[in-house]
Amino acid sequence: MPIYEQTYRRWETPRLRGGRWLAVAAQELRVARTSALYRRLLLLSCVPFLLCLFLLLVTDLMTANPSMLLRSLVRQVQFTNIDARFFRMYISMATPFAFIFCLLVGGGSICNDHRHNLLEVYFAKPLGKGEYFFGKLAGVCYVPLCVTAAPALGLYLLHMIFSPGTALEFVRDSYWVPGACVALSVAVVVPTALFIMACSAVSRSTGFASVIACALLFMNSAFGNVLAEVLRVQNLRCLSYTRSLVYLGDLLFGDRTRITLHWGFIIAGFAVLSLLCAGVVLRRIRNVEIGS
Amino acid sequence: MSAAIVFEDLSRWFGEVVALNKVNLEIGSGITGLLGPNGAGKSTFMALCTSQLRPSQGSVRVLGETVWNNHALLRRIGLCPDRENYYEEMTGFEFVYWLMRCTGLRARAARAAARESIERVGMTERMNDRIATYSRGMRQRVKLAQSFAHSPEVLFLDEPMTGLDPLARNAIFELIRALGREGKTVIVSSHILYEIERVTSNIVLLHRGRVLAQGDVHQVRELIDAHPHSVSLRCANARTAAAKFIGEPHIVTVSFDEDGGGLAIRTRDPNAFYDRLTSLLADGILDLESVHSPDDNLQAVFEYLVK
Repeated sequence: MPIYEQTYRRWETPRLRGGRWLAVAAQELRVARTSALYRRLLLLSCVPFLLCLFLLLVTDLMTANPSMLLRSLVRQVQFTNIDARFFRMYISMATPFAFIFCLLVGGGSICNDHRHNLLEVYFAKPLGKGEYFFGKLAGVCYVPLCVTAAPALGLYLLHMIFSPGTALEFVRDSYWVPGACVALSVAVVVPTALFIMACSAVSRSTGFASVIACALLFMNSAFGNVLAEVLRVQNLRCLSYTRSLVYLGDLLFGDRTRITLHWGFIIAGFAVLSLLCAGVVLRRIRNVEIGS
Repeated sequence: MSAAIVFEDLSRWFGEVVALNKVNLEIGSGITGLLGPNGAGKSTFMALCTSQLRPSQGSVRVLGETVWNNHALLRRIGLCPDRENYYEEMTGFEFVYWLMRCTGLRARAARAAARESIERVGMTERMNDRIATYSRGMRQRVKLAQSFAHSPEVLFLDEPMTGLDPLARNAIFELIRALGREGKTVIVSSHILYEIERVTSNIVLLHRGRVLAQGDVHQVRELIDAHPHSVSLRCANARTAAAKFIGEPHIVTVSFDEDGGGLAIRTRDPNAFYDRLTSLLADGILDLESVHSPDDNLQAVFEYLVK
């Protein structure tokens, strides 16, 4: 019987239990960061936050010190009140960026792995297909959520810090706003990310996936609006994905709307869309096989 | 000692194409060469052993366990696929590190494992450069590094020598031999017999989805050597070359091409022929333009074996 050398070190460190999806998500972000467009867009996406931060600070400082010089400088400008609508406004401004980030990262998430034959090495490791899917989803959603939910929550906190006199009153009146910000951000980002990942799963390149996603969204939006106009039923506008998001925002932030559809239908619609898209992605992943 | 890899009545087909056909096979530890021409089923064999494909019929067990969807087993397996598998924007180190993280190693261990494996394939100096800047041989070495960085017990190397220059090829041969000496089960696939001979004498011959032969490579070589081996030469002085070769006892036939610039030689002893060819070149007797052996690929062997 041969006596084998045992010189090569054997790695016996504790292994992660179910944290492998984090490695996939981190890798997704790492690949995205190499794109110059992505980096520039990341900088640009700070603009809505900085704008809202400016408005918030000026409003808070004016409220705190009515006699300060700043007030005389900007007294001609009609500043917004810092209420639920202000945070809704921020999310509305950040939503296009979130969509573009989903498109940039999600568009290549699955198809690039297929094109580079990476699924072969991924799944030769003890990485479950569910972990892979969840890691990809987390990677696609991370930045869009950082652009929408996180700054909105930051603005909420800053407002409490900079207006100590009215902070208690503000919290009492708008305690539900952070939850609404997170809920709307998740509603914007997660179904969009899944939809774009599904487009990526059925195409061969990032560009093609992005075009498919944009075309489908445009057609869906046109279909919903045209149908609502032709049949003169406002609720039919909710057949449009983008209009549903707006309506959900109206409901969450207590804005007036002409649509009277129960919010459950909107949530159910998003859930069905998400499940369908997840099904497409998982089916594509599960069908990975090396041809002979 | 039980076999590391066991195929039991295994078949795998893609639509109407049968890639592996009722294969019964046992492979023990150490290095085993998987030989076969293109389309023989080598990659399918590797894919079935690494849970990339589900058997259409029969079963495959590695280290005594069923492979399909067995994540615990996949920790003990390494795969170096034959296709390119990279993001060009990543560095070699990032690629290996990231796959080690996917294997489940913690960050520090993954970093150490990646560094050590990259060092073993001789890529330390270039490990922080982008893969896009690597030559094909470098890419191949990085791909190889990720396959054994987590110290698997069974290693599947699908045509690992593809694209390597002779120096890198020698280094990889040595690495594979070292992995074998460490007690790992290493399956190396190739369609070039000489490549496999450099690392192991234990081979499995696949042809059209069936196991044609299994055992010692020298026995197979003897089968080949018993039959004339064809070599084609092109040189400026073909008639002089023919005169030199015709006197050798192992030469069976020598014929000229239509244009007179080429020779087709059949020999019973390829090693003796190549020794003689080398000495003629060293003496400046031959002005060789090209040398090609239609029998160098395994197709000729298989054609002989299946007849």
